[in-house]
Amino acid sequence: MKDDYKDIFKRHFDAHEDDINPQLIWENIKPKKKERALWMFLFPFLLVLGMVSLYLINNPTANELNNENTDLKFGQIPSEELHASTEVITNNTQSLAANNNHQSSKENELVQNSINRNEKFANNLLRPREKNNFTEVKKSPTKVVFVDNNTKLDSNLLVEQVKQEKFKSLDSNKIGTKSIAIAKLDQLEDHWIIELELKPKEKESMFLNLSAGGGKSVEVKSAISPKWSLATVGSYGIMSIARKGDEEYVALRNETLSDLEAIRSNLFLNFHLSNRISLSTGLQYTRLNELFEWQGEYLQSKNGQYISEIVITPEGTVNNFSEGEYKERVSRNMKIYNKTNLISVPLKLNLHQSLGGIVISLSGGVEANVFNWNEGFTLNKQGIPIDLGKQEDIQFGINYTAGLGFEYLVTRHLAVSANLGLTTISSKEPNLTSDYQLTEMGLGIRYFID
Amino acid sequence: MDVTNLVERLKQGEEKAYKELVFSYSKKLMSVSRLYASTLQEAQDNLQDTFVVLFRKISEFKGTHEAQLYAWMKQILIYKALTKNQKKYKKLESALEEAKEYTLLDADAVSQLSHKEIIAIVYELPQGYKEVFSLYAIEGFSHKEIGVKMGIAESSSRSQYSRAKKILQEKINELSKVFLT
Repeated sequence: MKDDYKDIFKRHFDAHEDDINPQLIWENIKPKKKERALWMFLFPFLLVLGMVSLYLINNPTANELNNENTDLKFGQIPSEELHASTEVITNNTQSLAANNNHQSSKENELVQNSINRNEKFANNLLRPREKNNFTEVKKSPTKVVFVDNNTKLDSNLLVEQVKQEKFKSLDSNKIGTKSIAIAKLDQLEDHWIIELELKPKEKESMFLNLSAGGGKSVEVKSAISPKWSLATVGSYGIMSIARKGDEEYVALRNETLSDLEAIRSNLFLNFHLSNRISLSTGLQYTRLNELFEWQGEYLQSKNGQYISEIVITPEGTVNNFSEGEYKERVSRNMKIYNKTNLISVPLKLNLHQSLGGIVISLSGGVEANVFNWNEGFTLNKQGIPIDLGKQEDIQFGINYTAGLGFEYLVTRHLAVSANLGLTTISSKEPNLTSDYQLTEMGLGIRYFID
Repeated sequence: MDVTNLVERLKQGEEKAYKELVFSYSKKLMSVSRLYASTLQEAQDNLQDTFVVLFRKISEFKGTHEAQLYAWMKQILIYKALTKNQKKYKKLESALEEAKEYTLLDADAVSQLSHKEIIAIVYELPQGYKEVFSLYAIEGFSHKEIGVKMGIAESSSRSQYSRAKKILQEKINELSKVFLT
């Protein structure tokens, strides 16, 4: 039976395969979220790894130091001498306790006396410990904590060593004792606090000297503590979004949205009310990225020549043109990031707690959005893409934020920080309200101003 | 191909299964997509859109055979392409007058053409004609159904089909002349 022409065409097209490369198609449509998820896992992991490394580099392990110090102590000091010295120190400690609330001049005198009386003891005890006296130095903005892992020494005895060593070092550096005096000596449960009156320029020297001394859990408080600090943080975050308003708008936006991310950077000026509390304000830049996908066509009004008529003649197709306003069909295939940029002024209350060598901070506050601009496209109610930048009626209100920060003091002036933050941002358009929940992780530095 | 297994993996969101589907059907579906697009880029975009829709709607597929899966995918592809271009078809329709003469395609002449030539002459048909011809001659839809799918009148479908046949016949004649010389 003779084939119908339709069968011939059908047969050929059923058997036909285009020579397109499937890899090309796959590259354009494969899910990309897994890569992002991997990155999101990798980032905190590297953050924690970095902090732990930094901590370990700056803090030798307790075991190594204990062994070293124990050997030195019992190897170098005759037992009778140690016994005699302990008695003297006990007497000194009683005197110190009795004079705890007396004026600083009396305390100075007491310290000087104990140095003289224990010169032999100090020489014997300090000599073998010269290299490894203060084995661990932990600092916070307002204090320096010296920890000796040799726990077998009496704390009172160790404080005497601190004083002895401090004054020795100060003398050798020709700073003198006039500007540095022990203002208060107080004993807490298992560590000592020595408050010092210092001039700003002498603080660094004092820290250096004390770090060469020896003692167990001696906390040195500076009378001049930094009141101000400048901090900057750069962070990357992911967002979730909840939209309400006109149902058609919500559906259009949600249909085109696939990925959300945010980038933030800020500069804070902090005022430290005390060791525990600070207030911060500054400037903050936030960029909310929405991956916007839309494929389709729409009509756009234009002026000029347009095809008003298509005439099919035996010779072929002829187009007739006219002049005037016409609708142009625009085909768009958009896979771009919509960028919403915000400049805000934050006001935060921060609570700090020192734990080991790290200061943990909890913060909470508000951010006032003072300026915003947008780049990208969005859809109007008819589903037609419109330039987001021209949509001037997007209003951003007050953001609410909370954070958790970890800070490590690298030098007395400089700290590095890792931060976690949660922020809610709300934007209003005439027919739509978008609530963003931003979770961010960031790294930063802080500079303490004397 | 074990379609039941593939569909099950797709329903579970397995990325490898998605990739397998794309690699297995891209070439075949692209040949269909080109029948319902005016440019190669548009055909590729439509195909990509179709795969995205397939991934989302895979739970709605109830078949168990490869032919059923292919037919389902083809149906989505054609629907997406036609819906997108409906306004364009309407505009073309208004510019056309009803065909007064009806061309007959010579099946013998068509059968003389190579596979490549047959594919090429259909792909080269103007937009609107190509869709009507493909839907009628290849997919087997009636003009009434085509009118609904493309958003045009049934009579327009007939006219466009007639003109498509005329253009095809002219091309076949040209190719035959070249062959004879």
